[in-house]
Amino acid sequence: MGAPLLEVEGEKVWFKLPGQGLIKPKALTLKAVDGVSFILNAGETVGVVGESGCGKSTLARGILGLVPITEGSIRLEGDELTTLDKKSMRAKRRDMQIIFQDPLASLDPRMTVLEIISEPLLVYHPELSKKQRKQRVQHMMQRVGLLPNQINRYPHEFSGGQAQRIGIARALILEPKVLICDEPVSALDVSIQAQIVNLLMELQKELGLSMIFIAHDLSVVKHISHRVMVMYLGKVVEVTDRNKLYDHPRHPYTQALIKAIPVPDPDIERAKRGAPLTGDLPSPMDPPSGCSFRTRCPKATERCAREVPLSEEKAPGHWVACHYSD
Amino acid sequence: MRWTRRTGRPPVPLLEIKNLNTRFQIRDGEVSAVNDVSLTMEKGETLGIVGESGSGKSQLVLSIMGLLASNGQATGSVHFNEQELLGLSLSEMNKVRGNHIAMIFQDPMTCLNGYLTIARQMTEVLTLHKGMSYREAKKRSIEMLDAVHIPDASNRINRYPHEFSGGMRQRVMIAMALLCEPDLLIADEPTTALDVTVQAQIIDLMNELKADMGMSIIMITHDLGVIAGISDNVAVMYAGRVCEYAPVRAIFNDPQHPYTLGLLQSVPRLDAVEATALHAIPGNPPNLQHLPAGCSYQDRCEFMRDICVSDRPELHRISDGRSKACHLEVL
Repeated sequence: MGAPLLEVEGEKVWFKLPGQGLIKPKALTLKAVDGVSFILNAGETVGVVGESGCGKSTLARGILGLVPITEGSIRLEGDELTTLDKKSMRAKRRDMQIIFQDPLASLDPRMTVLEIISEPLLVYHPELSKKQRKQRVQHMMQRVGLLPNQINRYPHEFSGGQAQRIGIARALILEPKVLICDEPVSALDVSIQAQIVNLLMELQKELGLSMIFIAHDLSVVKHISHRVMVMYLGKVVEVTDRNKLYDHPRHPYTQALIKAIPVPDPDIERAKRGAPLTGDLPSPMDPPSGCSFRTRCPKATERCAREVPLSEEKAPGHWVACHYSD
Repeated sequence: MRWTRRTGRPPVPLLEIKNLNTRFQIRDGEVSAVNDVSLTMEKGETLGIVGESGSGKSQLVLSIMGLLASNGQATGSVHFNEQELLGLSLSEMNKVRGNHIAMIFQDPMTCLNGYLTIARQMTEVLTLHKGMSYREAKKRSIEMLDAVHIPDASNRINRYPHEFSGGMRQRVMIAMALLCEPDLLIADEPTTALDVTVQAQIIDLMNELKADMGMSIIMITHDLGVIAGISDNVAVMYAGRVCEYAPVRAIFNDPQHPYTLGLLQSVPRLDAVEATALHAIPGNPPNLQHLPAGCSYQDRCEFMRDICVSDRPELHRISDGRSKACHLEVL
């Protein structure tokens, strides 16, 4: 296998929150992403799962340069992105596109489908004639399952699933190498969700895309990803092949997360006893010392409060950050 | 138990909905949100209602509670504890709400008043419905917060909603709904806004409270996994109609309506080994303003025949405790 397409090393995204006068005089730091490293190979899908507030969206935005990175390195085909100036970053961004959770909110309601999908072409391919642009847009619309005669319609005339198809068309019109999907199906009904998941998998095969697929729904992530990364409070706690992760989860958080997912089978669901985790996610502004999962972890000891567990390769390609992993 | 199970007579159902229709008048016409729904529920039963957005599941229960928007009108009959609820005056309906039927919603933050402490909001329920003094009401509220496992309830009750996490707020909502020991709790997507680990805690809590207090629950959700864990019987809704009704195991192990089958097949499962293409239901749900003449599912159904276009299938009994609205005899 050649060099990885995208390498992320020690990405940190910290937000400084101003102090509030007498009540909270000290400025606080919110460590949304705290030292995440991973690689994405060509044609591969890496899934990112975790509960709300674990930093999965901020991680993606950091990679795209949409939020400034506090520390770390991001390399696309060997080129360092974090030190690029605005203009060169813009040129690189055509290779990395993103689709969002709420398809309607991410489309300009005053633009027609043609205008929305062709806007990236205007920016990156100004040499194309109006007719050529329209042809490309129609071709892309067909590819994502929209009817070319809908080209002059406005976003509100589409259902959620169709609007997500418009978002996908807009992201793919520049033929990017990496597609980041930030909760692309969470807002959709199950029957429509399946259509979009199938479409993304088809497009990936057809175009040889690499994808970073972010979702809180582990079943969908398992379905679409080759490898899966589990995040908790800004850190990666476990990463491995999808089947290994689901068959032999090693981190206590991954184990609990998998157990918590309701399975559409009454016999399995009723056999479950008790919720796998107690309590809520701690505040990211004031994370626990040592291992950030220790406050909810059934295995936690004093050592977990003292030492931050480092990510170790417990089996080939199976990285876990836990002192007491299986 | 507040009732006796064996009286020699067939048990009177707790809730009996007959031919319920809910229509909304809008600027350019009429929306048929609930169409000819008939359902029965026994005491102590948990009924799961599953369907996609726009299937009418929320409007169905809002019709029961008399909480429709001002342009909405429900017709038909809703019998609860031998009392007809449709057409009750506001003051009579207010006696039923809270006392006998309570409801919890998807987003607890929008249901709680951000300006008032939890104590103030909870005691109001009891002083209003039960005529308790503030002191008694507060004591009872603290007991109820304990019952839903809120740690340090006697102090926390004096806090404001924003000081609680999402899961804790949903517990507060449940505690508030149960203050008057209702016969029926309606839960409208109570875990949709929560993370899975917190969702598991809330479902666990609801199962525990149901066993302790013997109440009946209507659980509305789009999540088939949640339905599988909590329901006794399941009603699947599509385009404002019940398209299949059956005991929970029958729905999952032997679905008889093509839509139920399609729904089950379109969910990716954690226990699946290989990632084959998901079985997607093609197309989109119909427009509730212009429903087709025949079956509302015809455009998306893989078993569609001529009769589905011309005749609307009515919900009919197919075996004991099971019914479906489909022209196909066996799926």
